[in-house]
Amino acid sequence: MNTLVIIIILAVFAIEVPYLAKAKRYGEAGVAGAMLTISIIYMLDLIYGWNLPTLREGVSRVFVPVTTLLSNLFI
Amino acid sequence: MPAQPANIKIGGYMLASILLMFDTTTAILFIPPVVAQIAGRDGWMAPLITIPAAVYIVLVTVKLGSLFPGKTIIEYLPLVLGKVLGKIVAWGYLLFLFYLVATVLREAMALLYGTGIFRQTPVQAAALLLVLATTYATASGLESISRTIWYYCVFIVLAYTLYLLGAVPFMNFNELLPVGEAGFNTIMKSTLTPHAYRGELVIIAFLYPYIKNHKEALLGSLSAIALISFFITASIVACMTIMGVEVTSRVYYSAFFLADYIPTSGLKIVFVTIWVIALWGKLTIGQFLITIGMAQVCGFKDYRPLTISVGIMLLVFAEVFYSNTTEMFLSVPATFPGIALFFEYLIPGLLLLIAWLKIKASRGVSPNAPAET
Repeated sequence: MNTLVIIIILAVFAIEVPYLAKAKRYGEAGVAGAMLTISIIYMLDLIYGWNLPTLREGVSRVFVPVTTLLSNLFI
Repeated sequence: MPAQPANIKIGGYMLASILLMFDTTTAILFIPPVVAQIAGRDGWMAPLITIPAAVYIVLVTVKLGSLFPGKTIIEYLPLVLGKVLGKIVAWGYLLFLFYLVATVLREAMALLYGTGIFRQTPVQAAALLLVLATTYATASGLESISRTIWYYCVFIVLAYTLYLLGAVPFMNFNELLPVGEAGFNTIMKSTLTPHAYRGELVIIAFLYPYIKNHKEALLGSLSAIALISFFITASIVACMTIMGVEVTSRVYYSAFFLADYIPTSGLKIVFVTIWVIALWGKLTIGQFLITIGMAQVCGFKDYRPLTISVGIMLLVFAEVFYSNTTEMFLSVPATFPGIALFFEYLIPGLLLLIAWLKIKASRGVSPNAPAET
Protein backbone atom coordinates (compact mmCIF):
# COMPACT_ATOMS: atom_id res chain seq x y z
CA MET A 1 0.00 0.00 0.00
CA ASN A 2 2.91 2.37 0.76
CA THR A 3 4.19 1.82 -2.78
CA LEU A 4 0.77 2.80 -4.12
CA VAL A 5 0.89 6.01 -2.07
CA ILE A 6 4.33 6.79 -3.56
CA ILE A 7 2.96 6.23 -7.07
CA ILE A 8 0.07 8.59 -6.32
CA ILE A 9 2.49 11.24 -5.02
CA LEU A 10 4.70 10.86 -8.11
CA ALA A 11 1.63 11.19 -10.36
CA VAL A 12 0.56 14.38 -8.56
CA PHE A 13 4.14 15.68 -8.87
CA ALA A 14 4.26 14.90 -12.59
CA ILE A 15 0.96 16.65 -13.26
CA GLU A 16 0.91 19.59 -10.85
CA VAL A 17 4.46 20.95 -10.80
CA PRO A 18 4.89 21.25 -14.62
CA TYR A 19 1.36 22.73 -14.85
CA LEU A 20 2.21 25.44 -12.33
CA ALA A 21 5.60 26.08 -13.96
CA LYS A 22 3.92 26.41 -17.36
CA ALA A 23 1.55 28.98 -15.88
CA LYS A 24 4.68 30.89 -14.72
CA ARG A 25 3.74 30.36 -11.06
CA TYR A 26 7.27 29.32 -10.16
CA GLY A 27 6.88 30.05 -6.44
CA GLU A 28 3.83 27.82 -6.12
CA ALA A 29 5.53 25.13 -8.24
CA GLY A 30 8.62 25.26 -5.99
CA VAL A 31 6.68 25.02 -2.71
CA ALA A 32 4.36 22.26 -4.01
CA GLY A 33 7.38 20.38 -5.41
CA ALA A 34 9.24 20.70 -2.10
CA MET A 35 6.27 19.39 -0.10
CA LEU A 36 5.78 16.46 -2.48
CA THR A 37 9.50 15.64 -2.37
CA ILE A 38 9.45 15.62 1.45
CA SER A 39 6.39 13.34 1.29
CA ILE A 40 8.18 10.91 -1.06
CA ILE A 41 11.28 10.85 1.15
CA TYR A 42 9.21 10.02 4.24
CA MET A 43 7.26 7.32 2.39
CA LEU A 44 10.57 5.75 1.30
CA ASP A 45 11.66 6.04 4.93
CA LEU A 46 8.62 3.97 5.90
CA ILE A 47 9.42 1.31 3.33
CA TYR A 48 13.18 1.05 3.89
CA GLY A 49 13.19 1.86 7.63
CA TRP A 50 15.72 4.72 7.51
CA ASN A 51 14.26 6.15 10.75
CA LEU A 52 14.57 9.77 9.64
CA PRO A 53 13.81 12.36 12.34
CA THR A 54 10.27 13.71 12.11
CA LEU A 55 8.53 16.91 13.19
CA ARG A 56 6.86 14.93 16.00
CA GLU A 57 10.23 13.98 17.52
CA GLY A 58 11.39 17.59 17.40
CA VAL A 59 8.14 18.74 18.99
CA SER A 60 8.47 16.10 21.73
CA ARG A 61 12.09 17.06 22.44
CA VAL A 62 11.18 20.71 22.93
CA PHE A 63 7.75 20.54 24.55
CA VAL A 64 7.70 17.40 26.75
CA PRO A 65 9.95 19.19 29.32
CA VAL A 66 7.52 22.14 29.25
CA THR A 67 4.57 19.83 29.94
CA THR A 68 6.54 18.16 32.75
CA LEU A 69 7.28 21.58 34.21
CA LEU A 70 3.59 22.49 34.07
CA SER A 71 2.61 19.18 35.74
CA ASN A 72 5.13 19.74 38.51
CA LEU A 73 3.44 23.02 39.37
CA PHE A 74 0.57 21.02 40.84
CA ILE A 75 2.33 18.42 42.98
CA MET B 1 -2.81 40.35 -1.57
CA PRO B 2 -4.94 37.86 0.40
CA ALA B 3 -4.71 34.15 -0.43
CA GLN B 4 -8.48 33.84 0.01
CA PRO B 5 -10.90 36.53 -1.26
CA ALA B 6 -11.79 38.84 1.64
CA ASN B 7 -15.38 39.25 0.40
CA ILE B 8 -16.19 35.81 1.83
CA LYS B 9 -17.81 36.47 5.19
CA ILE B 10 -19.17 33.91 7.63
CA GLY B 11 -21.74 34.59 10.33
CA GLY B 12 -21.42 34.06 14.07
CA TYR B 13 -23.44 30.84 13.99
CA MET B 14 -21.14 29.40 11.31
CA LEU B 15 -18.10 30.38 13.35
CA ALA B 16 -19.64 28.72 16.41
CA SER B 17 -20.21 25.50 14.44
CA ILE B 18 -16.63 25.55 13.09
CA LEU B 19 -15.17 26.06 16.57
CA LEU B 20 -17.48 23.47 18.11
CA MET B 21 -16.48 20.88 15.52
CA PHE B 22 -12.78 21.76 15.68
CA ASP B 23 -12.59 21.55 19.46
CA THR B 24 -15.00 18.85 20.60
CA THR B 25 -14.38 16.20 17.93
CA THR B 26 -11.16 14.90 19.44
CA ALA B 27 -11.65 16.35 22.94
CA ILE B 28 -14.72 14.16 23.63
CA LEU B 29 -12.77 11.06 22.56
CA PHE B 30 -9.53 11.69 24.43
CA ILE B 31 -10.23 13.93 27.44
CA PRO B 32 -12.38 11.50 29.54
CA PRO B 33 -9.64 8.87 30.05
CA VAL B 34 -6.93 11.50 30.64
CA VAL B 35 -8.85 13.40 33.34
CA ALA B 36 -10.11 10.18 34.95
CA GLN B 37 -6.53 8.84 35.17
CA ILE B 38 -5.33 11.96 37.01
CA ALA B 39 -8.26 13.28 39.04
CA GLY B 40 -10.44 10.17 39.30
CA ARG B 41 -14.09 10.96 40.06
CA ASP B 42 -13.34 14.72 40.07
CA GLY B 43 -12.21 14.69 36.45
CA TRP B 44 -15.55 16.10 35.26
CA MET B 45 -14.56 19.50 36.69
CA ALA B 46 -11.62 19.92 34.28
CA PRO B 47 -13.59 21.20 31.22
CA LEU B 48 -15.40 23.72 33.43
CA ILE B 49 -12.12 25.00 34.92
CA THR B 50 -10.80 25.69 31.41
CA ILE B 51 -13.63 28.14 30.60
CA PRO B 52 -11.75 31.30 31.77
CA ALA B 53 -8.74 30.27 29.63
CA ALA B 54 -11.01 29.79 26.63
CA VAL B 55 -12.59 33.22 27.18
CA TYR B 56 -9.06 34.69 27.38
CA ILE B 57 -8.15 33.17 23.99
CA VAL B 58 -11.35 34.45 22.40
CA LEU B 59 -10.90 37.98 23.77
CA VAL B 60 -7.22 38.13 22.75
CA THR B 61 -7.66 36.73 19.23
CA VAL B 62 -10.78 38.81 18.51
CA LYS B 63 -9.04 41.98 19.76
CA LEU B 64 -5.97 41.20 17.63
CA GLY B 65 -8.22 40.65 14.63
CA SER B 66 -9.94 43.98 15.16
CA LEU B 67 -6.56 45.75 15.48
CA PHE B 68 -5.47 44.35 12.11
CA PRO B 69 -8.64 44.28 9.99
CA GLY B 70 -8.60 41.94 7.00
CA LYS B 71 -5.44 40.15 8.17
CA THR B 72 -4.89 36.68 9.59
CA ILE B 73 -2.36 36.00 12.36
CA ILE B 74 0.14 34.87 9.69
CA GLU B 75 -0.16 38.28 8.01
CA TYR B 76 0.02 40.49 11.10
CA LEU B 77 2.81 38.57 12.83
CA PRO B 78 5.50 40.38 10.74
CA LEU B 79 3.73 43.71 11.40
CA VAL B 80 3.94 43.20 15.16
CA LEU B 81 7.23 41.33 15.63
CA GLY B 82 9.18 42.63 12.64
CA LYS B 83 9.78 40.92 9.32
CA VAL B 84 12.31 38.25 10.35
CA LEU B 85 10.95 37.23 13.76
CA GLY B 86 7.39 37.51 12.48
CA LYS B 87 8.09 35.10 9.62
CA ILE B 88 9.85 32.66 11.96
CA VAL B 89 6.87 32.62 14.34
CA ALA B 90 4.48 32.32 11.36
CA TRP B 91 6.39 29.21 10.20
CA GLY B 92 6.21 27.99 13.80
CA TYR B 93 2.41 28.27 13.65
CA LEU B 94 2.33 26.36 10.35
CA LEU B 95 4.46 23.55 11.83
CA PHE B 96 2.20 23.52 14.89
CA LEU B 97 -0.83 23.13 12.61
CA PHE B 98 0.92 20.39 10.60
CA TYR B 99 1.63 18.52 13.85
CA LEU B 100 -1.92 19.05 15.11
CA VAL B 101 -3.78 18.09 11.93
CA ALA B 102 -1.55 15.08 11.13
CA THR B 103 -2.13 13.86 14.70
CA VAL B 104 -5.89 14.32 14.26
CA LEU B 105 -5.76 12.25 11.05
CA ARG B 106 -3.92 9.53 12.94
CA GLU B 107 -6.50 9.77 15.74
CA ALA B 108 -9.27 9.37 13.16
CA MET B 109 -7.66 6.18 11.90
CA ALA B 110 -7.18 5.01 15.49
CA LEU B 111 -10.91 5.48 16.08
CA LEU B 112 -11.89 3.54 12.95
CA TYR B 113 -9.50 0.66 13.58
CA GLY B 114 -9.24 0.76 17.40
CA THR B 115 -12.98 0.35 17.82
CA GLY B 116 -13.13 -2.53 15.36
CA ILE B 117 -15.27 -0.72 12.77
CA PHE B 118 -12.64 -1.28 10.06
CA ARG B 119 -10.54 -4.44 10.21
CA GLN B 120 -9.21 -5.59 6.86
CA THR B 121 -9.11 -2.37 4.86
CA PRO B 122 -5.52 -1.03 4.72
CA VAL B 123 -5.15 2.04 6.98
CA GLN B 124 -3.61 4.04 4.13
CA ALA B 125 -6.69 3.43 1.97
CA ALA B 126 -9.06 4.80 4.60
CA ALA B 127 -6.73 7.75 5.30
CA LEU B 128 -6.35 8.45 1.57
CA LEU B 129 -10.13 8.60 1.07
CA LEU B 130 -10.54 10.92 4.06
CA VAL B 131 -7.76 13.22 2.80
CA LEU B 132 -9.34 13.18 -0.67
CA ALA B 133 -12.59 14.46 0.86
CA THR B 134 -10.84 17.14 2.95
CA THR B 135 -8.73 18.25 -0.05
CA TYR B 136 -11.82 18.63 -2.22
CA ALA B 137 -13.51 20.71 0.50
CA THR B 138 -10.37 22.83 1.06
CA ALA B 139 -10.14 23.58 -2.66
CA SER B 140 -13.82 24.63 -2.64
CA GLY B 141 -13.05 27.45 -0.22
CA LEU B 142 -14.13 28.69 3.19
CA GLU B 143 -17.71 29.47 2.22
CA SER B 144 -18.39 25.87 1.16
CA ILE B 145 -16.56 24.52 4.20
CA SER B 146 -18.42 26.71 6.68
CA ARG B 147 -21.85 26.02 5.14
CA THR B 148 -21.24 22.27 5.04
CA ILE B 149 -19.96 22.26 8.62
CA TRP B 150 -22.96 24.31 9.78
CA TYR B 151 -25.44 21.79 8.32
CA TYR B 152 -23.48 18.82 9.60
CA CYS B 153 -23.05 20.44 12.99
CA VAL B 154 -26.81 20.74 13.52
CA PHE B 155 -27.18 17.04 12.70
CA ILE B 156 -24.22 16.00 14.87
CA VAL B 157 -25.32 18.09 17.88
CA LEU B 158 -28.85 16.64 17.69
CA ALA B 159 -27.60 13.06 17.25
CA TYR B 160 -25.04 13.32 20.06
CA THR B 161 -27.56 14.99 22.39
CA LEU B 162 -29.97 12.11 21.77
CA TYR B 163 -27.10 9.66 22.39
CA LEU B 164 -26.38 11.32 25.75
CA LEU B 165 -30.07 11.55 26.64
CA GLY B 166 -30.38 7.82 25.92
CA ALA B 167 -27.63 7.28 28.49
CA VAL B 168 -29.27 9.34 31.27
CA PRO B 169 -31.47 6.53 32.75
CA PHE B 170 -28.35 4.41 33.29
CA MET B 171 -26.30 7.05 35.07
CA ASN B 172 -25.41 6.50 38.71
CA PHE B 173 -24.45 9.92 40.04
CA ASN B 174 -23.19 8.42 43.32
CA GLU B 175 -20.06 7.51 41.30
CA LEU B 176 -19.11 11.21 41.39
CA LEU B 177 -19.26 11.46 45.18
CA PRO B 178 -17.49 12.67 47.26
CA VAL B 179 -16.88 15.84 45.25
CA GLY B 180 -13.39 17.30 45.61
CA GLU B 181 -11.83 14.09 46.93
CA ALA B 182 -8.78 14.41 44.64
CA GLY B 183 -7.76 17.77 46.08
CA PHE B 184 -7.08 21.15 44.41
CA ASN B 185 -3.63 20.38 42.99
CA THR B 186 -4.65 17.07 41.42
CA ILE B 187 -7.77 18.57 39.89
CA MET B 188 -5.71 21.44 38.46
CA LYS B 189 -3.16 18.95 37.10
CA SER B 190 -5.97 17.12 35.31
CA THR B 191 -6.87 20.36 33.48
CA LEU B 192 -3.56 20.56 31.55
CA THR B 193 -4.69 18.44 28.58
CA PRO B 194 -8.21 19.96 28.51
CA HIS B 195 -6.55 23.42 28.51
CA ALA B 196 -4.53 22.35 25.46
CA TYR B 197 -7.60 21.10 23.61
CA ARG B 198 -9.55 24.25 24.54
CA GLY B 199 -6.67 26.35 23.29
CA GLU B 200 -7.43 25.15 19.75
CA LEU B 201 -9.83 28.10 19.73
CA VAL B 202 -6.74 30.07 18.66
CA ILE B 203 -7.84 29.29 15.09
CA ILE B 204 -10.09 32.37 15.49
CA ALA B 205 -6.90 34.35 14.77
CA PHE B 206 -6.80 32.70 11.32
CA LEU B 207 -10.53 33.00 10.66
CA TYR B 208 -11.20 36.54 11.92
CA PRO B 209 -10.86 38.33 8.53
CA TYR B 210 -13.59 36.10 7.13
CA ILE B 211 -16.10 36.79 9.94
CA LYS B 212 -18.85 39.35 9.25
CA ASN B 213 -18.05 41.71 12.14
CA HIS B 214 -16.59 42.03 15.62
CA LYS B 215 -19.91 41.35 17.37
CA GLU B 216 -20.56 38.16 15.39
CA ALA B 217 -17.03 36.97 16.16
CA LEU B 218 -17.49 37.48 19.89
CA LEU B 219 -21.00 36.02 20.04
CA GLY B 220 -20.07 33.02 17.89
CA SER B 221 -16.93 32.27 19.89
CA LEU B 222 -18.53 32.66 23.30
CA SER B 223 -21.52 30.50 22.37
CA ALA B 224 -19.03 27.91 21.06
CA ILE B 225 -17.28 27.93 24.45
CA ALA B 226 -20.61 27.29 26.22
CA LEU B 227 -21.48 24.40 23.90
CA ILE B 228 -17.99 22.88 24.01
CA SER B 229 -17.92 23.01 27.82
CA PHE B 230 -21.37 21.44 28.04
CA PHE B 231 -20.67 18.56 25.66
CA ILE B 232 -17.25 17.64 27.06
CA THR B 233 -18.46 17.81 30.68
CA ALA B 234 -21.62 15.83 29.85
CA SER B 235 -19.53 13.18 28.07
CA ILE B 236 -17.17 12.79 31.05
CA VAL B 237 -20.09 12.62 33.49
CA ALA B 238 -21.88 10.06 31.30
CA CYS B 239 -18.75 7.87 31.02
CA MET B 240 -17.93 8.03 34.73
CA THR B 241 -21.47 7.50 36.01
CA ILE B 242 -22.23 4.60 33.66
CA MET B 243 -18.91 2.80 33.15
CA GLY B 244 -17.33 3.82 36.44
CA VAL B 245 -14.15 5.84 36.98
CA GLU B 246 -11.79 2.85 36.64
CA VAL B 247 -13.09 1.75 33.25
CA THR B 248 -13.24 5.34 31.97
CA SER B 249 -9.60 5.89 32.88
CA ARG B 250 -8.49 2.76 31.02
CA VAL B 251 -10.58 2.97 27.86
CA TYR B 252 -9.80 5.34 25.00
CA TYR B 253 -12.90 6.41 23.07
CA SER B 254 -14.89 5.87 26.28
CA ALA B 255 -17.72 7.97 24.77
CA PHE B 256 -17.94 5.37 21.99
CA PHE B 257 -17.99 2.41 24.38
CA LEU B 258 -20.87 4.02 26.31
CA ALA B 259 -23.04 2.47 23.60
CA ASP B 260 -22.29 -0.97 25.10
CA TYR B 261 -24.14 0.04 28.27
CA ILE B 262 -27.25 1.39 26.49
CA PRO B 263 -29.73 -1.30 25.34
CA THR B 264 -30.69 0.48 22.07
CA SER B 265 -29.09 -1.45 19.19
CA GLY B 266 -26.96 0.09 16.42
CA LEU B 267 -25.76 3.04 18.52
CA LYS B 268 -22.11 2.35 17.80
CA ILE B 269 -22.67 2.67 14.07
CA VAL B 270 -24.53 5.96 14.61
CA PHE B 271 -21.68 7.20 16.81
CA VAL B 272 -18.94 6.28 14.32
CA THR B 273 -20.92 7.76 11.42
CA ILE B 274 -21.33 11.13 13.12
CA TRP B 275 -17.74 11.06 14.31
CA VAL B 276 -16.33 10.39 10.85
CA ILE B 277 -18.27 13.46 9.65
CA ALA B 278 -16.97 15.48 12.62
CA LEU B 279 -13.39 14.34 12.00
CA TRP B 280 -13.76 15.29 8.33
CA GLY B 281 -14.85 18.75 9.51
CA LYS B 282 -11.91 19.15 11.85
CA LEU B 283 -9.40 17.90 9.27
CA THR B 284 -10.87 20.14 6.57
CA ILE B 285 -10.62 23.26 8.72
CA GLY B 286 -7.08 22.31 9.69
CA GLN B 287 -6.01 21.64 6.11
CA PHE B 288 -7.61 24.90 4.96
CA LEU B 289 -5.78 26.90 7.65
CA ILE B 290 -2.43 25.29 6.78
CA THR B 291 -2.95 25.89 3.07
CA ILE B 292 -3.93 29.57 3.36
CA GLY B 293 -1.19 30.02 5.96
CA MET B 294 1.42 28.56 3.60
CA ALA B 295 0.17 30.75 0.74
CA GLN B 296 0.24 33.87 2.94
CA VAL B 297 3.67 33.24 4.41
CA CYS B 298 5.07 32.62 0.90
CA GLY B 299 3.22 35.65 -0.50
CA PHE B 300 1.12 33.75 -3.08
CA LYS B 301 -2.08 35.23 -4.51
CA ASP B 302 -4.02 31.98 -4.46
CA TYR B 303 -3.82 29.11 -1.98
CA ARG B 304 -5.37 26.44 -4.25
CA PRO B 305 -2.16 25.25 -5.99
CA LEU B 306 -0.89 24.10 -2.57
CA THR B 307 -4.04 22.22 -1.53
CA ILE B 308 -3.13 18.76 -2.88
CA SER B 309 0.49 18.96 -1.71
CA VAL B 310 -0.60 19.89 1.82
CA GLY B 311 -3.12 17.02 1.81
CA ILE B 312 -0.45 14.53 0.74
CA MET B 313 1.97 15.82 3.34
CA LEU B 314 -0.66 15.41 6.07
CA LEU B 315 -1.33 11.86 4.88
CA VAL B 316 2.36 10.99 5.04
CA PHE B 317 3.01 12.78 8.35
CA ALA B 318 0.04 10.99 9.96
CA GLU B 319 1.71 7.72 9.08
CA VAL B 320 5.31 8.51 10.02
CA PHE B 321 4.72 10.53 13.22
CA TYR B 322 3.72 7.55 15.37
CA SER B 323 4.91 3.98 14.93
CA ASN B 324 1.74 2.68 16.63
CA THR B 325 -1.46 3.89 18.30
CA THR B 326 -0.20 3.35 21.85
CA GLU B 327 2.76 5.63 21.15
CA MET B 328 0.31 8.30 19.98
CA PHE B 329 -1.88 7.97 23.08
CA LEU B 330 1.18 8.35 25.31
CA SER B 331 2.76 11.14 23.27
CA VAL B 332 -0.18 13.54 22.91
CA PRO B 333 -0.87 14.24 26.64
CA ALA B 334 2.91 14.52 27.23
CA THR B 335 3.48 17.02 24.41
CA PHE B 336 0.29 18.91 23.65
CA PRO B 337 0.01 21.01 26.87
CA GLY B 338 3.57 22.31 26.33
CA ILE B 339 2.91 23.34 22.72
CA ALA B 340 -0.45 24.81 23.70
CA LEU B 341 1.18 27.00 26.35
CA PHE B 342 3.23 28.75 23.66
CA PHE B 343 1.17 28.71 20.48
CA GLU B 344 -2.30 28.94 21.99
CA TYR B 345 -1.82 31.07 25.11
CA LEU B 346 1.49 32.96 25.38
CA ILE B 347 2.18 34.09 21.80
CA PRO B 348 -1.29 35.59 21.12
CA GLY B 349 -1.19 37.35 24.50
CA LEU B 350 2.30 38.73 23.85
CA LEU B 351 1.29 39.80 20.33
CA LEU B 352 -1.62 41.80 21.74
CA LEU B 353 0.63 43.40 24.35
CA ILE B 354 3.27 44.38 21.77
CA ALA B 355 0.63 45.65 19.33
CA TRP B 356 -0.91 47.81 22.06
CA LEU B 357 2.49 49.19 23.06
CA LYS B 358 3.29 49.98 19.41
CA ILE B 359 -0.02 51.74 18.95
CA LYS B 360 0.49 53.68 22.17
CA ALA B 361 4.00 54.64 21.04
CA SER B 362 2.76 55.82 17.65
CA ARG B 363 -0.04 57.80 19.41
CA GLY B 364 -3.15 57.14 17.44
CA VAL B 365 -1.51 56.10 14.16
CA SER B 366 -3.02 52.99 12.48
CA PRO B 367 -1.68 49.64 13.81
CA ASN B 368 -0.22 48.92 10.37
CA ALA B 369 2.01 51.97 10.60
CA PRO B 370 4.93 50.60 12.71
CA ALA B 371 5.82 47.92 10.15
CA GLU B 372 5.49 50.28 7.20
CA THR B 373 7.90 52.80 8.69
